[in-house]
Amino acid sequence: MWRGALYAATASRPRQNPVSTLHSPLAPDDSATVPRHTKGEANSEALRVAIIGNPNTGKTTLFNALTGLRQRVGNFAGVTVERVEGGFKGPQGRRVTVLDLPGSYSLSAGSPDEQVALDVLMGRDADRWRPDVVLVVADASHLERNLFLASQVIELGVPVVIALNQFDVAEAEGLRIDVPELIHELGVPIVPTVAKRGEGLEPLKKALSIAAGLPAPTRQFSIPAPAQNALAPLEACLVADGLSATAARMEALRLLGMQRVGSHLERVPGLAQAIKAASDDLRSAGFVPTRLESEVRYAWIAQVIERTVTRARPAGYNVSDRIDRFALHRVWGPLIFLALMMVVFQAVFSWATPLMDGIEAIIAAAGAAVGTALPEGDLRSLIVDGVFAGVGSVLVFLPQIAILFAFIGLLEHSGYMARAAFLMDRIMRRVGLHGKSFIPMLSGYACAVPGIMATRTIEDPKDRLATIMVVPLMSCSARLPVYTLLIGAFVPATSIVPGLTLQGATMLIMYLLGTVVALAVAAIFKRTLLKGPVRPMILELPPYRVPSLKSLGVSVVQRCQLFLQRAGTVILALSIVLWAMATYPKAAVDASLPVEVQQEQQLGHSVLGRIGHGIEPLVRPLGYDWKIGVSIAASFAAREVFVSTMGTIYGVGTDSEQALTERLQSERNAVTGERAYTPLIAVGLMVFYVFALMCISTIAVTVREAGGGRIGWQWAGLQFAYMLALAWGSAWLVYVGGTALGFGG
Amino acid sequence: MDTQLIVVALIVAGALFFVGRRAWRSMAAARKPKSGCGSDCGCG
Amino acid sequence: MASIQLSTLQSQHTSAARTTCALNACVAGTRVTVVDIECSGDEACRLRALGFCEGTSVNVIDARDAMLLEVRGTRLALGSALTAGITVQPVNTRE
Repeated sequence: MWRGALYAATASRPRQNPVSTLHSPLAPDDSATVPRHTKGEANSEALRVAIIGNPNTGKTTLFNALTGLRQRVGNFAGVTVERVEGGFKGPQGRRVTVLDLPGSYSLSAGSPDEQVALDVLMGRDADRWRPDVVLVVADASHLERNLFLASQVIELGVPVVIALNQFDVAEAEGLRIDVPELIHELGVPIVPTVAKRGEGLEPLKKALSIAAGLPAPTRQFSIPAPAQNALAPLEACLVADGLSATAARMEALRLLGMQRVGSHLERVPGLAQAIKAASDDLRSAGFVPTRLESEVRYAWIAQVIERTVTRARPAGYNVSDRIDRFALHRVWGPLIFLALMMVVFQAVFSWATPLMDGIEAIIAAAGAAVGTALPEGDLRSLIVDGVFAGVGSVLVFLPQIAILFAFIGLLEHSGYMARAAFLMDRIMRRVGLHGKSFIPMLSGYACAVPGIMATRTIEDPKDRLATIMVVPLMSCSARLPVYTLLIGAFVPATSIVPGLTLQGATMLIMYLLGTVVALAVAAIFKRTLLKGPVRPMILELPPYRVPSLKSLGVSVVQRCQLFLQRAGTVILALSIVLWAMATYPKAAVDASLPVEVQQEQQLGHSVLGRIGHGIEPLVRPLGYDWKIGVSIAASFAAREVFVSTMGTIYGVGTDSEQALTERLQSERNAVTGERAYTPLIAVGLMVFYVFALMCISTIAVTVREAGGGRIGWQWAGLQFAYMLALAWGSAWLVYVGGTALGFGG
Repeated sequence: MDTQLIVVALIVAGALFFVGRRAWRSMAAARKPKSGCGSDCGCG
Repeated sequence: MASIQLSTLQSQHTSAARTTCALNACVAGTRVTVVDIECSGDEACRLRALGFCEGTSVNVIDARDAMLLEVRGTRLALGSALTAGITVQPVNTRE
């Protein structure tokens, strides 16, 4: 009770003057406040801006709007949190580099993502990248919750600019935000923005360049005197380590809330004891140490909100709630989810076809043109059969990958992804994980690498590891080429129900198979090696939003670029190596034989052919001949190489996918004389690819994410081994079972 | 004919080198101990 | 303004002993005030960062296995293991 009185007393204290003379960054004459030295070195060095914000505030949309396509995707040094950096030209022509930090609700919760964000903000990042200005993106329509993180960042003592994003949504909901008053309260420049429509970007850019020259904010809310006394020794300990007074207060509250010390503070002498002493003192003064930060911070935020935000009409059930009544309905919800998934897979399969035909035609024409320009010989063969056939057969899948990423982006940006996690929580909990693990698994449909990276949002190490172990079972976009080739060749396009063909259904079954087995394997892991309690779900369901087309486009283009980079580098190099392995040593073939027989003899004589014959005993039980064996062996580094190897082996890649399909349909097993590819073998192959982990990038990411070093290698090894065993076993079951049931022909 | 073979050999050697370097790098990067967060931060 | 804050806190403390229950016992449509969060430190820490702390009023939007809550204008979904450990005090809305 007396604590309430104290907070209230704090509120009525005279306000501190805000540190800047900037009343509103939108004021026309604010250039007057630009300190002279920033103007002097206008072009000398890039201004470094770090963007941080709660998830679902439009942070990435704002980042994309500011930087456009000038982005570099990488990882933070030492950790595998995705690091996206971009840039733009500032108002005075100064270069500005922008770093997109992972979405965080606070700097206190200590998930790996939040740890990375804190490290960058405190200048402890392994890359030594220290921001000149921190841009906090706050959702104007949920200001109360967003100010928690914003106030923590302000107290770190770095120059801060706040973007009040989704300002239009706040206004539409009847919220009136007094921006000048809010600037006054927080002591930092604040710019209202609507990132989706690009509104407020220019004032924001201006505010960023101005803020860099301003002294760091020193504003701090007061806390009850007894608590302050209890905290003093701990704060002194942190100040001795080099923190400013405000940062020390923030860090002290944070440490008390977390009740543990990160590795970066272990070296600070006496810190652990100071935390314990402060906790004891607080308890004897009637406080709960773990609650202190949230209590004082939200009490202060409530006062700020009361002075700056007025609500024109009471908050009621809004559009999102009305949509959720269906989307989260006990019966309709799962049905809607399933229907959406079906639309996605059907679209990936059928909408991409015209585009793929176009790309194929272009590659075929280019290959033919180069073929006629070059003299007959090995170099021509290398270019036409190696480079064009190999890279071309992978490039064809660009439209499918773009469509898949567009859909995943759409689900994510619209807010549906969190609903999917909510719906899946029941199932996931039966498995032993919580709904949050479903999001990395869903991302795994696009690519296991970002999927495994997305496990960083899972706090429990065992849950995280179990999720990492099964993410690669989700059919990623690299499997699409394999599925597409085999389905196109062996599954008829008959219509089952309107809008869904047998081909689309087969595709869906392959995806479902991977998903179901992933859940089963996760359940096994959680009950054996990774036994632990089921962590309860804590999930924010963001309001539904119409996604920004620009932002969606940027992320799709970004993913396509990454894919093209792979096709242009690794797959190009692998195609050349594979071509050489299929061409040398040269066999002395009888020129009078048909061309196909010549090719076959040559291939059998080559390095690749010898490897294929060597591993044939291993794939024979699955019904495969040595050529399929070669393709599997060649695709151990990357699955999509299976298709390009087929293209190289059969030397048809330059014609079209149609030619490869026809070739597969007519191909006969050299030993048995039967058709080498029956529908049964095709299904077995697809099942093999559903389960097999054939991707060097995934293995590398698993090693790092599972803990690095020996432990990481052990988990990655286990992952590879169990998936290979699963792949071989299931393909064998399909073949043997199918043959026994009479599907062999 | 001979010049063609030499060019082919060079290209293939270059590709081999690239693939090898790429594989080596991803292995080396994976082996590197990570920094940035403590043993108790929940990332394994 | 000071007096408003004081009185709300006061009333909370005096009536807390009378009518508290576990959050998962509440039905959809109830308005409650959080009294105590009893779960592992990490989860409590995360809940508080999300604005779900002691003294916060919360609307129960949907109560099934997991619960859908309105907290400070945002929608949170909490699993049943959590909601069982959270003590709340229903606010009487029937006037």
